[in-house]
Amino acid sequence: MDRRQLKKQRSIEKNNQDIEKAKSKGRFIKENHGILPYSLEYTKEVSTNLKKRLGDNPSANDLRNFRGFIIDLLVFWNPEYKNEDKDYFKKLIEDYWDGKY
Amino acid sequence: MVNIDILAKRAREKSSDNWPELAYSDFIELEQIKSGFPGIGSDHITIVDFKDIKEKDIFIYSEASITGGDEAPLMLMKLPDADEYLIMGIGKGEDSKRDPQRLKLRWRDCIEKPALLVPGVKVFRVDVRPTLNGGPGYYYFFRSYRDFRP
Repeated sequence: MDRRQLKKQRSIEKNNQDIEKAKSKGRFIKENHGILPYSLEYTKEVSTNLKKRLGDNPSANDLRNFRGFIIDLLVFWNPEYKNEDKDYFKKLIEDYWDGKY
Repeated sequence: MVNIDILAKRAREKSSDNWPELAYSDFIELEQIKSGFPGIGSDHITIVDFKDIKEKDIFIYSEASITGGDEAPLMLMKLPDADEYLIMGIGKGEDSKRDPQRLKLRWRDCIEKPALLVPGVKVFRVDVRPTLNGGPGYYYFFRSYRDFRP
């Protein structure tokens, strides 16, 4: 294996180690999905965590901070994941656009 | 500039029920169009109605997004004092394989207004005007091929 390949392999290993370290500390890692929808696990994880974070009555400030996240989640939602959370997020963002917050 | 927020809001105007799915399909369509114009990014274009296009405006018109076919998108410039359009570039599309007549369209040709290009049709206006010294969109306008048909 030449030097360039070794360097690439080392950087991939380091990246994986960093991701696992961040995960063990409870940090959130954004998925690199390209133009495809989010993976099933990622959709599940993000929707559960976001719903927990926003609660039943999210404040206007929370919605302002997380609106980009929610819109991305809705647009790149994995179609295999059937859950009523999607309708909940959809209603939230529609209410935000309509100026109800 | 075109981003996910803009696509989502536009999709909701069209259909209030399934706007996330519509926004995703618009996003895929935009990525396909952009792949035929390397160097032109989402920051360099704006979604506008065709009726808002003025003289000397450059815009990308995709017939495939209206017909659902395989026509290559065209980058056109509206010429002043005439209802003619200058072809500034041709994107990716398989239509020339199916219909060899389509190959007669070339870069820098002047064409009449396409039949489907009517007010109300969505086009992507190209806002950047790079100079010889560089600037946004420089690669496409000064370095890249202009015809990406197979």
